[in-house]
Amino acid sequence: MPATQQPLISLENLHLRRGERELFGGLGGSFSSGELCWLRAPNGSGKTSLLRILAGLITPDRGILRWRGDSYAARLDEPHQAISYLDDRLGLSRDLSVSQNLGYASGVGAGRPVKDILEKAALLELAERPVRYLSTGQKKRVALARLLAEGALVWLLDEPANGLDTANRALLSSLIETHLGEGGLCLFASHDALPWSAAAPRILELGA
Amino acid sequence: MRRALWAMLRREWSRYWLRRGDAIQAPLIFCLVCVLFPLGGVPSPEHLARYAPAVIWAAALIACVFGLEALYRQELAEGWVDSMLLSAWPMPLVLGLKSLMHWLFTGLPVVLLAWPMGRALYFPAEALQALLLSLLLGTPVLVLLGGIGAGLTAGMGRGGLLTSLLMIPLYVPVLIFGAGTGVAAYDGLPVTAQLYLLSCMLVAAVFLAPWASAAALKIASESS
Repeated sequence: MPATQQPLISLENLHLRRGERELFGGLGGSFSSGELCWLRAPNGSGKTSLLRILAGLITPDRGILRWRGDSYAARLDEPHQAISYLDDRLGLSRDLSVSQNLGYASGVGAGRPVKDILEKAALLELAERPVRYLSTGQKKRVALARLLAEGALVWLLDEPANGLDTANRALLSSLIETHLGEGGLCLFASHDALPWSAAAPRILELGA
Repeated sequence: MRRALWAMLRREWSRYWLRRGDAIQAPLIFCLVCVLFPLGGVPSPEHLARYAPAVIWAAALIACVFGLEALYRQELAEGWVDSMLLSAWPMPLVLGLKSLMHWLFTGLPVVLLAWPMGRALYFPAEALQALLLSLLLGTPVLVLLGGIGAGLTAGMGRGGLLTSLLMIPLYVPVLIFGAGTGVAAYDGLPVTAQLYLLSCMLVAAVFLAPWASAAALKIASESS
């Protein structure tokens, strides 16, 4: 299969236990460019753990992960950061301003101009404000802008709409649609449906 | 590569600069220990000069490891550690730069202040150069070693005491050879052996400590 048609990520027979409890077992599937996937499951069924496994932050007990059909370590050979992960910790320094945080993410990531990112995420008026003084929703918006700055192919979002009002949910949808349009892949974990305007997500049930 | 290195250095610089009030505490502690020591002992110039290397080195150790246990705690809580583990940049390089910046704000002021503190303790100027050189080589080792402890305890709520207990056995050789350099210089003996040993410790710390810190932080991230 040519490299362009290879799924970005494929999973085979993934198992994860936490203590005596098996969170999931025999999980498989593949995810390609331009795809939006919703990990739907009740609380405590392993959504966050699966996202962290896909990010390479934790190792499954058993199973195989592949990046473009190759070993999962091959994601580190991509010209830029391959995977971005967003959870409620946001990945922002509270002491630094919005533009300093985004400048850093852009510098170690894809090197996109910070002004463009601020415009796309509607953050121009908050650019010089330290993150510690922002509201929860504003912080989340900056964290989404961080994903743009990093310029990764794969976005792994854990409950991305938490703390967002209607306008910011619409912004989240539009950023994700742009990302998918640019050939990106987005997997998000949520127990609520999100107001996606165009892309209908493929649903992956956990604990079903 | 240059862009990323610049971004990392700028981030660390900005964080320390914004918290310069906290950063100034380390050199302040160093000065306080050096200034208060004569009040508790025999304040004769001979006694003070004899004990100056030990006092300056013990004070430098306390100052350099002060606040070090929190080096990665906030970074882990804010999700920066996860972001950097996902980035295309090797974690040891990132942590090495972070340690360098910590040293610039804590270790370097201590080295610079050691001259007036040494003179205040009647330590002879000709021997002070060797003591300063030992501090210049030894304080980065203390910061790099402390980074390992900080990584190991990053996921704990309050790991300050544990970090110090874990790291004291590794700090002691640096303290012995560092203070030993000053004592030998005061006695007019050669100091090259001590300085070579401290240089070896620095090289070993530069090439091993960031990897150990990265491994410790990976474990902290996995269990967070």
